[in-house]
Amino acid sequence: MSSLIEVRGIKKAFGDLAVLRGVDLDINKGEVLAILGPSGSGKTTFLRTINFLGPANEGTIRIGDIQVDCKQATKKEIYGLRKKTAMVFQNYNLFKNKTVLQNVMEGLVLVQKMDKKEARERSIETLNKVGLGERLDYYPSQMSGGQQQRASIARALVLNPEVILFDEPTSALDPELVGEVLQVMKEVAETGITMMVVTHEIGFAHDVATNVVFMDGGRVVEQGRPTDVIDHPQNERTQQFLGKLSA
Amino acid sequence: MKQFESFINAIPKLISVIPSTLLLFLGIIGVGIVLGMLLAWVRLKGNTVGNVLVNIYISFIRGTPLLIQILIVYFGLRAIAVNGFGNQNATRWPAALFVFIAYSLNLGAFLCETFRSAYTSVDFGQVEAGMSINMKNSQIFWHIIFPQAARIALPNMSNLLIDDYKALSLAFSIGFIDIMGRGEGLAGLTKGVGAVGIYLAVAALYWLVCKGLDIVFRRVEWGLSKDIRVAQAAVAHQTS
Amino acid sequence: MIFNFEFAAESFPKILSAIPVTLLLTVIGMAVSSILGFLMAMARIEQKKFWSGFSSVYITIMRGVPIMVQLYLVFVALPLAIQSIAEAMGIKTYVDIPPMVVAATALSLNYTAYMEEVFRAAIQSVDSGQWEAAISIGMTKRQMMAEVILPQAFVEAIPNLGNTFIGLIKDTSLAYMVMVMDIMGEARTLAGAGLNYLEAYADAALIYWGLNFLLERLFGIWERHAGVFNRKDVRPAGKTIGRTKVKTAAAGR
Repeated sequence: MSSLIEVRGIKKAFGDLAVLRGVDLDINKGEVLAILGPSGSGKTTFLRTINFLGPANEGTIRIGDIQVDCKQATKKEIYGLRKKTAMVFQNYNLFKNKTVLQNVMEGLVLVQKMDKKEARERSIETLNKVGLGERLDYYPSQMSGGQQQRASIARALVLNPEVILFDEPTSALDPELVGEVLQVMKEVAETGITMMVVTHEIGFAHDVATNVVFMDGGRVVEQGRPTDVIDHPQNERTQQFLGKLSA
Repeated sequence: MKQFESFINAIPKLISVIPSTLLLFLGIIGVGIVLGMLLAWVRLKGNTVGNVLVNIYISFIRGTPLLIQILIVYFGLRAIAVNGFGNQNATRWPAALFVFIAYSLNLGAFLCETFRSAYTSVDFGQVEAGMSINMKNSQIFWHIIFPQAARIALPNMSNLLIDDYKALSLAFSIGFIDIMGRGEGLAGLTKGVGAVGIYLAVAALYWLVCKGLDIVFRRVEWGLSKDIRVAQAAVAHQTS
Repeated sequence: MIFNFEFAAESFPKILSAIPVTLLLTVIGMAVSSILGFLMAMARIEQKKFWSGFSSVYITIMRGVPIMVQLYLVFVALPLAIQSIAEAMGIKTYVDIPPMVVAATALSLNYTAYMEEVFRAAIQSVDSGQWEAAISIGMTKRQMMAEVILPQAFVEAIPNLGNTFIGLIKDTSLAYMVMVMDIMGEARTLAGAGLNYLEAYADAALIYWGLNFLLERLFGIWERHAGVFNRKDVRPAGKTIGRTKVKTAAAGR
């Protein structure tokens, strides 16, 4: 069975500073991959190479039937990759000048050229699923961080992408709001959609993820099932990292 | 080409005017700053009659063209002097006097806003620190607030001052000879021949003086921000 | 007497009638400089090879030379330029350019520099996350600008647009130097007969003052109205399901 996502030899440097030193990864359909690691390990940088927000200098990325060489990616190829992915950002990044409903409809109408009525129905349905059915006409500035993040997940979900990329989705939230977002992410995972989640929430990684990857110094240092990597880390760096967090 | 010739010819004659304009400019800056600080002080005091009056004054200055202010000062002062006090000498007062008064009044109003907002944006913690070591109010003002407010106000103030120098080009309407006034005079002498060259020379010289002023102000800003730069260097050194 | 109140009162309505000319000049100047300024701002933001450098130079020049000088330059240079072009094409004409055209041209060219800065600052003030989110769901550059970036940038720009507009109205007062019959032109003409300059200009000052006061208010209202999506204390009106109707957007602040 070939994997849905295949990443080979991703390298990226900012000037002299090498941030990603060769990352290889395979992700199967329906997997929930948690990416853990200390700050500076390159995990967010890596995630952003997948949808070319911060393109890699070297390497190849395949999602489904689209394969792209990072060094010479054409606009069409990048566009194709982005159509297969959706991203949930640490700072939510909802469109400030649009209501929640408009935010969710935006991608459907403009990018997938969906009929407005159908887009509206799909969006309302998805917003109900994340618990925002009562706030369709609110602007992002009128909602809490947790609500905004849930809306942002709805915006990604509604596009029905092959994979949703989560970039530290709860890191910017007040502690009491983290739970509601993690709960929604759990429900999203249960629908069977493929997810790549960069996070510091070890509990979430342990309970919800199907696979865990630990990154350090721009490389994948350890990977495997959550119960293996988190409960019984083999690598010294992984042990150090997890030891610090659980203390 | 004719225009090029008149351009070259005009330059020395125009340059000769610059020193006196800069002198007047300095005077305007001085009075303008003092006036601005006074007005800001009144506004910061809060709800008084003075505050209302100052607000009206500033509203007038900001809501009317400088040109009109110049003309009103010119005709108004002369009317008061001649018709009010019977002073016929007023008709021979130099244009520079009216320019000085009008531009100072104008600059003061604009600087008031700049100073006021600079004052209020100084971190209050600084003042509290001074109070906690029993500094007198006047000491707190002159040694803590003023230096920091001055630094905050400087970029804005430099822009206003440079704009003010450019605005001297309006003064020839009451006969004051600045670069523009001289240029117009020259063009009049040649009956408009080579006018393009003359005005291009005027433009070029204004541009040069403004650039020069800009450089001077940047140096002053740079000089005043020494302590910030030292701190930034220290931080950069730590993290590398 | 020092001040001829009778004359001032008589002339007031006549000078008032010149407001449309002043406003026309302002609106034209604003429109042209907005379009050109916007294009230049985009060129500088996207760092388009030639235009970016050109814009930078243009702005430096425009801001270092007084408007008065630019006005006179246009006044003397424009007819000559057109005449040269005409002669090159073999047409012998005497070119007489209407004062309004001269003034509008000079003001537009000068204000383009200010508008470029206003737009560039406004666009760059839009949170970079908005750009990223738009890209990440696959929007094209055009869609992104039209739907997300420009609407937000425009709201940011409104206060500066207001200040620039008022500045432009004041600068139109220079146009009378090239014989435009705007507020100043009207005032000078009326004053010339009996040398009642003080009274006429005092009238003109009041009119400018009133005009700008009104405009400041109008721009304030526009600013509050347009920036609704930025206001945290306001609830959307009506349509929300299952919530009581609280105060509408317009009643906020």
